[in-house]
Amino acid sequence: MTPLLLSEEKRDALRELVNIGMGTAAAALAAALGTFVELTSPGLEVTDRGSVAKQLDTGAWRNSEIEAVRQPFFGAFTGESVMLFDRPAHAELAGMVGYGPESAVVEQQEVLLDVANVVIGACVNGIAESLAELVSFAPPTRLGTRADVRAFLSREAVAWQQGLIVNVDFKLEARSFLSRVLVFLPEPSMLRIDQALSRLLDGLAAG
Amino acid sequence: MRVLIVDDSRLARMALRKALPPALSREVTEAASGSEALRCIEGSRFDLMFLDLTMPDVNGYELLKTLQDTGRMLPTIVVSADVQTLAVERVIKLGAIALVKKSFRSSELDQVLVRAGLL
Repeated sequence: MTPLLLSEEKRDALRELVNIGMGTAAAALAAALGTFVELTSPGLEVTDRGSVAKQLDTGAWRNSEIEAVRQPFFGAFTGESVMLFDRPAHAELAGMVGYGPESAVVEQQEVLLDVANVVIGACVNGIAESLAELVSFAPPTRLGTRADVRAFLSREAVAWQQGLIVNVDFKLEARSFLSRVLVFLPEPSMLRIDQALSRLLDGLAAG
Repeated sequence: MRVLIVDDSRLARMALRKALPPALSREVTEAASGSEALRCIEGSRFDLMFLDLTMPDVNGYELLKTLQDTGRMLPTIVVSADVQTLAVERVIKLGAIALVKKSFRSSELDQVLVRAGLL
């Protein structure tokens, strides 16, 4: 199948919609964690399934222990989202919501589920709401570690060939950790987003 | 009135340009980055700047700080998706007039401009 490649103009528009969603996520996280959240411009790329797995072996993620949360979404467009955290994120985030350094793994994972729920929701809703579309979410669940992410990415049951990869760097003041949001969209969803972006851009150009 | 719009997103620049009241939309210059904005400001005089915060090279905070430190601050309205309370406080401290949340309506922008005495 020929991959659907968004034009540069549409990628710019999609990046901006994600950016708007991430602003909402930052405000929610800042309120919950009691700190200022520094945002960087989200990186966005459309790629195939195999390339996503390879990216986990490069850069800062290469030697990181990974904890991943998964959250599917449904509605106007359907897809899978995964949020990855590196090891320092567990204790850092748990500490910020009041768990002590001795907090149980299950408590730390619960915090990651909450954070992923906010960030993934804002990211996907940022796209959907701006395109006047509606999506709903399954509850976030723990996907597991690096090996589990690999297994997930290689499963044929994941109905997508292309992935919209959104790289979001969160920096909490005086603390930092790696986190990354992956949004996977099957071909029909990509097509629907492409069409909605056309309407959005045409509307602006007509004004 | 000469207006400078600074945002790395073409969509955001288009949306803002479309939302501007007629009085502000006659002489509009666009910059796609903080560093491009600095070059524009060095080369021309502007009466008002609309500034995004989240940009890949020189971000909005850094641009405001540079303008403040070098005495080149101009009336600035920050237009950002980042609406953390601390973000608002920081941009005001750095000399901005106001922060408008992205995806605003034209009427909201008009209200901010009227309050700032720019309309």
